[in-house]
Amino acid sequence: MSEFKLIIVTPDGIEYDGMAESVIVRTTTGDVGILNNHAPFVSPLSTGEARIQANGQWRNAACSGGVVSADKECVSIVADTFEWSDKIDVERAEKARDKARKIIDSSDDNKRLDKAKIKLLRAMTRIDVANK
Amino acid sequence: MAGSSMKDIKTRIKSVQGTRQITKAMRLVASSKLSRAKERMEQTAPYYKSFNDVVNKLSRSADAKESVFFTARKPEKICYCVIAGDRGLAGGYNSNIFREVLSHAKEHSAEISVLPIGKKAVEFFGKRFDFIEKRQMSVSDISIGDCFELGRFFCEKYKSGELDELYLTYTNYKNVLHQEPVTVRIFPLTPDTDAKKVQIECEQGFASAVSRIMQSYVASLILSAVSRSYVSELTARQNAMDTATSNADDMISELQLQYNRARQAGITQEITEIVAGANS
Repeated sequence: MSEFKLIIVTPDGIEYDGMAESVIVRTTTGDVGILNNHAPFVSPLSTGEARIQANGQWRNAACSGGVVSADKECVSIVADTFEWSDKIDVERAEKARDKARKIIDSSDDNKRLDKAKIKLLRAMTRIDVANK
Repeated sequence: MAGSSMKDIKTRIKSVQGTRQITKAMRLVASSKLSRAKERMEQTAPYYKSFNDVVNKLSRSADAKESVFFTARKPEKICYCVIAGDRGLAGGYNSNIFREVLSHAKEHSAEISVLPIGKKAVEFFGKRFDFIEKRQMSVSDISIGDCFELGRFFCEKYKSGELDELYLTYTNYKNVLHQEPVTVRIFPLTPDTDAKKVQIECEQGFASAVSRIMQSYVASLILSAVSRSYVSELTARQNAMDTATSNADDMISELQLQYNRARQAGITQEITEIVAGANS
């Protein structure tokens, strides 16, 4: 399979910089798979699992927010958060999940509710990705 | 007479020594914080850079005009997001950034509001401009989450027409001796008219994709500006305190010289008096 240059960055620094064969990310309109030689493409990212194939190996990660951009020669994922499955702190995610659930059950403030829903989705994604 | 002036000099030496101790301590504090701030600056640099590349690519899109973020309108309400320090004693750091904002604002005859980051900016602009939001933030403990919240906030204000132009004023860190206050325009973005237009695929339409991306883009801009400004502030403070410490050193040695002279003059006088007394 032909390779392309992939770079993944977050506010905490560079998560990946190298060659890859295939990328699947969750955008706001659904999962998108990118192979080499893609037409110019930009899409905002949503919260979900990201899968990267490099050297024939698939790696999973929890990814949320930001943007994915593809060009003929290079794909970049600029995410708000991006964690490889083996680096996810499951305990923390479970705590965040419980806390968010509690807010959803008890609060009627719409703004807080929306925030809690986003947090819940992020926590669930992390737990799902880590337990695969 | 010599005695009293000797005592005066001694007190002055003591007080200068006290000041020197403080300036030296502040220098050490600044330099120990500096290494962590520099690390943070280097961490956030690629994030900002990649985001900037994506937005540059979007600005070459044939559809750029479709998005409100790429469309300039008559600037009636301008907002400056100004990043200054939490504390003074950093040479010209704070006043340079304020001067930059004032001179930039003078060229516009629009209604001006400010979002200050850093306690010194809050103090300075409180008397001059309206704040677009009441929340006050300090530079040293602004988090990534705060930056995202600001991104969301500014995007909504821009979309709803509550501001027509958004500027970001911060201090760019060039090197130890050179930090430069700069103002960059965030909104509206400039569509690149020179480059060859490209067709960019966006599944949900260009305008909607751009407005979703913008929140994070503004967050990345603010994050990188804050981390650069903080490094500049600490460097400026370190330099200022360095100069202050060496000035104190000069003063102490000057005063010590005066003290020794006065002491010697006293001794000489006493001897002359004793000799004169013995001779008579």
